[in-house]
Amino acid sequence: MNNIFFISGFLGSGKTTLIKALVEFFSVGKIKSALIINEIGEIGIDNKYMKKLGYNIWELFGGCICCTLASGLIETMEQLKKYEPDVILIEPSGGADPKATLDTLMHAGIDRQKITNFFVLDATRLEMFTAVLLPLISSSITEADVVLINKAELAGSDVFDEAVKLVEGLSSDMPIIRTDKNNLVNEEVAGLIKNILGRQVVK
Amino acid sequence: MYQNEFKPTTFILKMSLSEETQLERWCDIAGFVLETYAKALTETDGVYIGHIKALFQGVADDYIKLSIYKEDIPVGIEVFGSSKYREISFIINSIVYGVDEGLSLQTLEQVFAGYQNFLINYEITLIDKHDHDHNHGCELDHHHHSQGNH
Repeated sequence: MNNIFFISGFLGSGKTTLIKALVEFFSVGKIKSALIINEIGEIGIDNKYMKKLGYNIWELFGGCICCTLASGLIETMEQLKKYEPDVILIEPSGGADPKATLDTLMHAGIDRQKITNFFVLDATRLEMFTAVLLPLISSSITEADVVLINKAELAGSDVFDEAVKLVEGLSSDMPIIRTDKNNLVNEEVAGLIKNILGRQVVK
Repeated sequence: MYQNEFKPTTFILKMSLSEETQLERWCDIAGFVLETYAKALTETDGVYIGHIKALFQGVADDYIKLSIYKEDIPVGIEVFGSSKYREISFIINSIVYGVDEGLSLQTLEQVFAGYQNFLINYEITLIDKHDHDHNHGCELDHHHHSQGNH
């Protein structure tokens, strides 16, 4: 069974940037990865962008991965088996509820232990999250295996501390990694990946 | 799930200049347009940007990708390529809380109306929503809005 890296996070939080960095990281380490993207909007920009960069991606389009496209996700996972990727990266749309998508994967018989849910929290928008998105953010943090508090430098240390408090208030033992927009696969993230994959990954 | 609150609006924004122009200059123009659009949208209380993204796909590997997630943070720009273009076409996905398609379109048009000395010809095409519940051919409906400066 492949490792599944589930990259959750609200719109604009840095999921696609993280995935791009992970794909490059895996490429250097000779790790085969496959990428499934679900996007909202009538035309998928991330899909076209990734293809422009030369990546093969499987796109789930025309709905949300956590509701109307749940069966499409399972079909796509089945199709990917023949490529024998070491890691399957799944990027749900930034409006999707991670819990619903994770439930879909588990109902399809995928072992939750094989899934690592990286939740990317945009530290620059804590105010908006608490104003209009608290249920989604709370559910997302609770479901995560690790939280990357992203754009930390841009947000400043006070806001970063608030973000840490928000995460710890919802899940006291949640692993938290501080990341910046231009350095998402930092040493700590790389070390975590190495542990998950159980082998040396050369950056 | 949260698409109900953060409704996506998709545009095709075509812009042309009188002569072939480097991608960096197009980045400046498109970045300014998106920043002005984002700021105008969020002047109203209760409006929040989810993500505004734009992509231009040029010849070979050329591309420009623009991204805004907060009105007071400068637009993120990624660009690759060295070709020059007289005309350029962006797909824009605008996912904003508290704004419908009509207001989104109107606001983008006002950006150009406010800067007519740009000497840019432009055309905005709003991509209407598919009926995703029916499994038949594409029913995209296109509304064109354009203006030429000569």
